[in-house]
Amino acid sequence: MINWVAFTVFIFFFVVVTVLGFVAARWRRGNLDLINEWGLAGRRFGTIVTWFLLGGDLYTAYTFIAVPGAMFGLGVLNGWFAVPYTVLVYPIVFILMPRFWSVCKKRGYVTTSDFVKDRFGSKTLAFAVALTGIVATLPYIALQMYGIQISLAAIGVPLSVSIGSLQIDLPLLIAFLIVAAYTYTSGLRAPAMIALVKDTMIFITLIAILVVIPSQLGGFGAIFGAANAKHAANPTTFFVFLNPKQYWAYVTLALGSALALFLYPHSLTAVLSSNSKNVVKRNTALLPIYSMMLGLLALTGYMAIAAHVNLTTGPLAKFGSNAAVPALINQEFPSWFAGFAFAAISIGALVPASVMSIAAANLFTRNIFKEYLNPNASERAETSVAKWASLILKFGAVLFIIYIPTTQVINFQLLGGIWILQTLPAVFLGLYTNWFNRWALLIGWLVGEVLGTVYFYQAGLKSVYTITIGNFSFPAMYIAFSMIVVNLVLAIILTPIFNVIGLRSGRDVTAQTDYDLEEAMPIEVGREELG
Amino acid sequence: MATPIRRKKRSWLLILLFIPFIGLLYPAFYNRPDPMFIGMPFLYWYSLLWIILTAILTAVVYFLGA
Repeated sequence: MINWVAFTVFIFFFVVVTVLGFVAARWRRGNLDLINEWGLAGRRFGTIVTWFLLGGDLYTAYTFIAVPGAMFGLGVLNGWFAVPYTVLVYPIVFILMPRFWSVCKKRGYVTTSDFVKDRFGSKTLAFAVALTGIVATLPYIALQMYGIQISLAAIGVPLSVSIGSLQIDLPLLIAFLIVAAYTYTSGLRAPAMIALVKDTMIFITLIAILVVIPSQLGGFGAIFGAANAKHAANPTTFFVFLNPKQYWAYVTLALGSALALFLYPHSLTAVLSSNSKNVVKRNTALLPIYSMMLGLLALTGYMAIAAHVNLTTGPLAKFGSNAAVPALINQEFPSWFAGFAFAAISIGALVPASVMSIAAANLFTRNIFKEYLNPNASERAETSVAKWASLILKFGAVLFIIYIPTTQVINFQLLGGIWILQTLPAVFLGLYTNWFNRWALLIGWLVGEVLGTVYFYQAGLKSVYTITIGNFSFPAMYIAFSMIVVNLVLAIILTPIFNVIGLRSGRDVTAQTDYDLEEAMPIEVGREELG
Repeated sequence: MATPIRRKKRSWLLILLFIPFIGLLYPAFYNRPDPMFIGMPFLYWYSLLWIILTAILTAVVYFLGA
């Protein structure tokens, strides 16, 4: 039973955004056969565009669905940690990303793996970083498709259509084809342009939600009252306040996630597309606007509780807690606005899906294809491979979300967070020092990955685990965090040992001054600020 | 390429960026309902407040030139 009003509004905005995706190829013209232009938009974006792109890239459709969903279903530990997480990211970015931007600009690096290879003189370590980046990104792309699925389901669009004797997920396939097509033609310019629309729509939706819903429900007092009542009814599974035994888990989830976010390829690709390290720095003070959006959005999970949304019947039933916000929107808003809101969420999936696939494609092309399969590839061939890789990755993500149960995809995403954090020593510490022995880093990485995966399974496919050694139990904490500690300790202990026994450190090709590039390019007066 | 101008680096400013970590990584301090603000328990509005404070701190560090 399609909500035709909502659907029409939805389609309208989707078409607008699709057109923009293709038009973007001509925005700040560059030769899109060069990987710097296709994959990094020629490193041209100023403060404002970078703000939209990073915001649209980091705050994904999955974020809008999963965070309130977690608040609705599980409460403060699983949902609210996102707030300290998103606060603490930016000081970290302020310190680390200008250095990363500088060395990548100076040396022409497109990916973290490019950097690691030159910094530590290790192709193996570079491969490990590239592989981790690609594997961690894939489920994340799939989950963006999930965000589109939920939005469509909320409008009542059938997810699956019979064509002949086949059941085809036509709507999702169409969405995929559209994203694939404009990403192929325009590269990073497409999601950047679309981000301008997406972020505006999301903020409008959020403001509308905040203006309309709390007053309808009786204010925040009533909303938290409902949440407290839910806790009283479910004292062991739902929490409004943390249990002291959960403090370590809460803190490590926030800190671990904050450290990991800018190790993901898609975050770094957006950073590298800016035209100066000061653009990056300025954005660390401006991006928190999105953090406030996220915090307030998280509270909509509790609003859904207070509004008594029905998640047990209707097309949203199979999505469980994740349907909380879509159900709330359907219940509290007229159809035309619901269409707008769902378009915002779905478009909210397109930007990260596009950037993530570009970022993962960049990694594959530069650090696997060019490194191992075809070292003599011309720049044109490189870009061509990247374009196709990005397409195939998105297609894989669609197949993933259609054929693999969503809980499994979510588990992959959680594992991906654990995996990507293990590249911190090589990438983040590598920005400051080349002291580490490349083999020590590799071992630290490997142990972190393997042990982290084992613990994830032992925890029952959850991210928080209690490590027990003999009779001593550590407090339950985020696996990514405990693993990065193990990783670092190993790297620190093994480095002097390996150096002594002859497992030499690689040659660092970078120079000290690479990490602190002052602007050498003339700035077009006035245009720089406008991005 | 013009000779890069080396601005004076005030690295001590970076210490300001540690303040949000201190503010948020000790939940025992803020994990409670009171004092409330517009019906929101302390845990929640305190966390949201740190978004604003951190943005201000970052802007300060940026403008004073770390």
